[in-house]
Amino acid sequence: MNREILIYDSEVCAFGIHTDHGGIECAVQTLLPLLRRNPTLAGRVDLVAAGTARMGRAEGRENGVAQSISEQAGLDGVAGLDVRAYCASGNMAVNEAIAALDAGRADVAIAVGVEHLSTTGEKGPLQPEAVGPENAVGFSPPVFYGLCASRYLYEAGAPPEALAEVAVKNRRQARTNPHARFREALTVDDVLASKTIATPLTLLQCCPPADGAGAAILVAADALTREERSDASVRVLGLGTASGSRFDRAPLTTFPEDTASATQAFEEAGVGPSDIDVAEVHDAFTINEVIAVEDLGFRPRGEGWRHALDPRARPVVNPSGGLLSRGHPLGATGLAQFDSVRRRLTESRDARLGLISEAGGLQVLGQVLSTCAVLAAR
Amino acid sequence: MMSVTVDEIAGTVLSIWRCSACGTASSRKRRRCPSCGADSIAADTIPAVGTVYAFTRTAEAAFLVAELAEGLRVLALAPSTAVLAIGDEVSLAAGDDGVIRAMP
Repeated sequence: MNREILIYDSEVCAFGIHTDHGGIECAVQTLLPLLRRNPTLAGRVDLVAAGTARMGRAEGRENGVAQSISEQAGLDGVAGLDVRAYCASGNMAVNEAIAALDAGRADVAIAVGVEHLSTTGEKGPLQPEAVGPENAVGFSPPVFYGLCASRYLYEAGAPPEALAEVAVKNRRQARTNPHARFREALTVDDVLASKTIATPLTLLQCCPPADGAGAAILVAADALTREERSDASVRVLGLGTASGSRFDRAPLTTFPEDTASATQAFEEAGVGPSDIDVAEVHDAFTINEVIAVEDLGFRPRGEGWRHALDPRARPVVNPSGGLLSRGHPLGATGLAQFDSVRRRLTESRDARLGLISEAGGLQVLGQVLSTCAVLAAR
Repeated sequence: MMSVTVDEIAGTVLSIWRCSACGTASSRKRRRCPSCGADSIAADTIPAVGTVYAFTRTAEAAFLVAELAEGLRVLALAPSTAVLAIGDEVSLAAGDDGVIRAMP
């Protein structure tokens, strides 16, 4: 990093089915409180980056999501940039804001993530972009991750209950998150007895879709006045981004792009996996979190499934409840992850370093892309 | 995704692509080889048999990843009633819809 970049403040709305408004209003309702409580920065916004994967389908708005939000938020003339990166759209919008700040092209930036999946008709399982013949015969994200889960359990010698424990843990952690779509406690039996989606994955091991938005103000620390310094801000130490590859030799039990993006972020931050206190990762399905725990270096290969069984495990993974409990409004998910880690790093003395890892997209037998960020308490 | 040959209809080979320079095989058509960078890739075939590498069943169908010769892994569709386990041998055939199916 050339400059000290801060996640200065952030907000998320309650994720769920929002029948009384659309995606732009969802984003604006989330952004306005941020602007209201940070009035001097609100007058100096140089960039609005909007992460969204499906607003084209939801509202026929393929372009100009950032500008539509800016118009309603009274940010006339501010540069706007739409960022599309599947489930990681919000994370990539944060990355774009950080890049502009770090390069000196902006001093104050806003990253927004938004999705309104109820208007795309996706109240059930999220459907992939229909890009290949396999989609016509039912191939979908649950099928891909069901295949991964079957191979993982086979190689690790782990029982199906190990996957269910991830859903139980994340729901337990969601209890204190007022913005999560689902907060009621679950048992392993509840999870395993829910409808089979793609063996060994059951319904309660699949993240629910949702409408929602998140927003963050990012600043270069050297641009803040003394009065603007805030205890609510955290520092960006490192970022990484990678794409999937070699899809016809995919191991299914590891996602190399997740390791690659995390390695970049760790190297830039000058820290390693054992230094991380809290992490928000892509638990679109229970198996994703198990594999992420290994790919990010928190547990050895074949041992990731043990993390959710250990109440004293470090790092704490998905303290907000993860996608499984929050619901997954694609573009908003990344902002919810940054908001969760920022809150833990500023509210708990035990948490000094946090990590966010998010993957997106499917290319038959692999993920399209992955991004990772390492944040630090100040 | 894949064109159909007479042998494929008989269920004996699958179409693949192979780099003319380094010989790397791929189930996916690309213009440039990810291994060596050469941009001459030609059609080839591979025996339509493999082992089950991963398996999942939904309400409507079953899917598997089959590992073929040269370490290639491909997605295949199977009937929802198929009883398959990791390590089982399967015969495969590409349909004219581009979908590879595991033969019962």
